[in-house]
Amino acid sequence: MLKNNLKKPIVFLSIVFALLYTLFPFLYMISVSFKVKKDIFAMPPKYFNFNPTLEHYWYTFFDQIPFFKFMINSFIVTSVSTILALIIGTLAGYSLSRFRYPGTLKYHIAFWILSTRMMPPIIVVIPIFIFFSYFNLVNTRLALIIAYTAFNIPFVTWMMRSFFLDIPKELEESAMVDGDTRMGSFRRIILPLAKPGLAATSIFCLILAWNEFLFAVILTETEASNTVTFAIALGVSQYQANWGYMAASSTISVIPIIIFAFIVQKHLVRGLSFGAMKG
Amino acid sequence: MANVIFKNITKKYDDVTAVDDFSLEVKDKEFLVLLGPSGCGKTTTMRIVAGLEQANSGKVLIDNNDVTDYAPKERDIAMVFQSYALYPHMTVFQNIEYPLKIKHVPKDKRNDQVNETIKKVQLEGLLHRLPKQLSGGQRQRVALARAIIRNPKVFLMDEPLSNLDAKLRVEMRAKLKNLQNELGITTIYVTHDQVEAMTLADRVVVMNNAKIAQVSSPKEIYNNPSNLFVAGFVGSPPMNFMPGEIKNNKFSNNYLNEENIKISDNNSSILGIRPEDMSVAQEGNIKGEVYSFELTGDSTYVTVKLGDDLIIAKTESDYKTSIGSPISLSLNKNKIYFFDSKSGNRIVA
Repeated sequence: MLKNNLKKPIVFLSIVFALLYTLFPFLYMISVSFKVKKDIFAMPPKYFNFNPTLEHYWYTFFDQIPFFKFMINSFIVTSVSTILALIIGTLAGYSLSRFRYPGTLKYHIAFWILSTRMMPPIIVVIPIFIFFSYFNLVNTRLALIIAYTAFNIPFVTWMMRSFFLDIPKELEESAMVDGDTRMGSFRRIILPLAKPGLAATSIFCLILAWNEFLFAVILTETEASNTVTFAIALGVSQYQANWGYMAASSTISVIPIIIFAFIVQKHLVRGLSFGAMKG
Repeated sequence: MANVIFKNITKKYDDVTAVDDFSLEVKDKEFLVLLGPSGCGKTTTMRIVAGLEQANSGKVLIDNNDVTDYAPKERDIAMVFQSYALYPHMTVFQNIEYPLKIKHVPKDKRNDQVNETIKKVQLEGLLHRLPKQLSGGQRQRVALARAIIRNPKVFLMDEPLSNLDAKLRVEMRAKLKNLQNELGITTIYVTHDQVEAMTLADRVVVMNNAKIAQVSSPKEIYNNPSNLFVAGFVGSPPMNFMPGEIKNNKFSNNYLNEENIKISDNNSSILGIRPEDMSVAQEGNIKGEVYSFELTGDSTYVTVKLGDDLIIAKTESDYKTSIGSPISLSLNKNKIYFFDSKSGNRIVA
């Protein structure tokens, strides 16, 4: 066993290494977004010694690309699909964690819900495109909302199911005996206790919907419904790649998720339900 | 104020029968205790009254209304759970206030009622704490306060004292009995602890294997058990059982002969006698050797080896002996019970 005074530096160095490994691409992206074209391609790379410029941000917001519009589309698609997936998946998870199903049906349903995520999404993108075109949904935000909601429901269901399983069922039984309905006790007792779970799950849903590219690129092609990921990809054209623009727009697109993560951070702390039960 | 009537309640989980043809009337203001080992169906029976479980067949009547198909909230009952089931995100005040809030009782009235209730259970000064900041006994009292605030028709209590330490349990037992008497609310209380059953109950229902084994007053249950199960379950240490046969008004096995009993011949019978109904004597009718002895404070329990059987006798606290020494016991003739070992039923003269 390592002695304590040796342990600390090793732990510290491991953390530094892990952070460098994960954050370097991110920091490099930010630095590229502030470099003039010449500096982006400089060899050896210029990490700090370059003259910062805002020209790529200017280009992102005020040139031909309607980046604001794309941001708003992303906001709408992401938030609506996340809310829908949370509502449907939370109720499904609650049902799977609490109610009796005939025989082994409960496990089959749970597995079936999960199995929809077991294939790469590209397999279903063509059928979904054809299906949506029947209903004139292609090139609408609704198409993306439906698709992302469907993707997120299995995830929400499984996450919330495990959170609900941790909450003693006596709590809502007690509430029901005290005069509440099943839904009332779910809303007043169970949901507040599942807040940490909801916070964690909602972050995952937001990230998935916000970062999704494949469906965005196939189901939408007008600025009325294009999302941020699509907007970033516009930097690559047949003859050139506008790295400065892509770095700047990527940097901007990360900001909303980071802000949301900070907001829900305090709810991510678990343990509220401890102390409910035995003394 | 209300009575509770069970009519032929049966509850099955897949192949397991949890409650089998349970029929009983709990009288108005009665303190009824359901007593039995774990898995005997007592908690399921209570949950059926609460509406948290649906019986497969049979009816439940509260205050002579058929509530079999009612939701829990429509039954006007209150329940104290073994785990207390306090809402962890609410303060003591909010926990106690919850049943009234659900019923949209105006705020002033709610405040008054909460304040009145906490006095009954001595929780003053703790109103703004969260359940996790309370001790076990305090949580128990919050759960009790939440149950009594609504003045329900029936109280249901599912082993409410089992998570408390021994000293607190005795205190709370007295408190419960006093409170129930003061409020005069029909109470059904589930426990596996026979001391709780004996001390609290007006009537005890002993359950075994999903069925009622006996329903009587605590005194009757103790002094007049109707079968082997009840005789062995109630009493601590339990009743001693000695197998043997009855022939020509005489019970005998290889270490005991008991004459002048007025029971017809039975070749597989069991003689039962409680430890306190035996005494150490110079020339008793049982002779064996001391297997072990335990001083409990006010008395001594002597375990005596008779052939392959071990029986326990209760003697005075100053009784002195040593393991392995010979001992002779005499039985109190009036307190001997006989059972049929096949059916388990008591054989009465």
